[in-house]
Amino acid sequence: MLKLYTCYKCGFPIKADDRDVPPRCPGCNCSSEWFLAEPYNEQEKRRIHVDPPEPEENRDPMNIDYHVAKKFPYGTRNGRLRRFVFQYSDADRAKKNYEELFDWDIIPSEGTDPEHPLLYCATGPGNANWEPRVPSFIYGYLKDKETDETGKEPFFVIEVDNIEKTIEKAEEFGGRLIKPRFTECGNDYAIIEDSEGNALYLWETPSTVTWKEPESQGG
Amino acid sequence: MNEKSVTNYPYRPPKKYPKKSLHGRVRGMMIPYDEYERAKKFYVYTFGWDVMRVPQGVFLEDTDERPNVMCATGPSQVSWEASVPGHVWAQLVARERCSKPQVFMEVSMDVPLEDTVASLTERGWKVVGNSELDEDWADFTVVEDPDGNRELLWKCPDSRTWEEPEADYDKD
Repeated sequence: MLKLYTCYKCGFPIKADDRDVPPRCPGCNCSSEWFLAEPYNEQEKRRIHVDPPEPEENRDPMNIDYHVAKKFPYGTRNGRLRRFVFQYSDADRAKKNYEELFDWDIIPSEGTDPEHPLLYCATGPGNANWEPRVPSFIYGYLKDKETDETGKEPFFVIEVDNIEKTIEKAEEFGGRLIKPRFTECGNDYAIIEDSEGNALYLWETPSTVTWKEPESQGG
Repeated sequence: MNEKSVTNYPYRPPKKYPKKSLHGRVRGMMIPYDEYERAKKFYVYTFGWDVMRVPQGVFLEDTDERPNVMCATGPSQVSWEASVPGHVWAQLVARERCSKPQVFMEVSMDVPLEDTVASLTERGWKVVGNSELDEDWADFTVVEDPDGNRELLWKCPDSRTWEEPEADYDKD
């Protein structure tokens, strides 16, 4: 019989046949004896509600045991992983492939060089400002390989409050500056390597952010 | 959304996604490490990420010495999926299980993963890694597009309830 299970420890919902229940919660790794069961209903709404646990204060940030993720403050987007960056050798081919195979919506970034366009990709539902409307997925870029003068293929973008302060911290913890602050399509970036040699972009929060955008919320 | 209100470039919102599907959404980022403690320290102290070990049986197998580490990069739900739009989690993964950074991309739940992969290889994608653990949460394949961009394709199991905030799509 199809049932809706709710993990009593973390609230994670699981739809499964009662003969095929996962042995562990995919959210918090506790065993299935902690699951509360109810019949699966067509409305897809749970009758069982579990109050989510509160984040612990003053926990060791290096401890990787299961816990509720900490609260992130309002008024900053510092540290959020915001975009992916794929490189292309043929813009038309890359655009056609991702539009047809993955249903993306792809536009040239505003002010981009038409010879080597930086293509911006919506990968799912979005708002009028071309930011995702739904949590837990990101938009990203297709970028001409020829425009990567670092040769490091930086692959993702982390938003920060201040580029230079972040570079200082990154260097303190084993990172390395690859390219200092530069402007592309109206946004300020830098490129660094993390402590493991993976290249990434730092993107400074634009001054145009109003903090009312859905993607600017804290909590 | 009132499309007439879009006055900024590109003068239209993104297209609608009316299908009950998360196919093509980039849901996370996997970042390889050589030294576990060093990498964890870098991301915790440079960017303020929160870290926990990826629950066992979910995705790649790991060891106590070289665990897979889930990172909240911004506000998150109890499931560690992001709770507000616009950002995703990252996973720090030992280099022997992830040789270069790759996106974690969801693909159609309604199509066998092999068929999705076949449609990609016809267009020049290469399969670079496969894994199937006992539990269906681990139904994934790692591929590279014709330009070498690496993607872990994940087919979500039927246990999704569609009540999850991240499972929303453009309903009428």
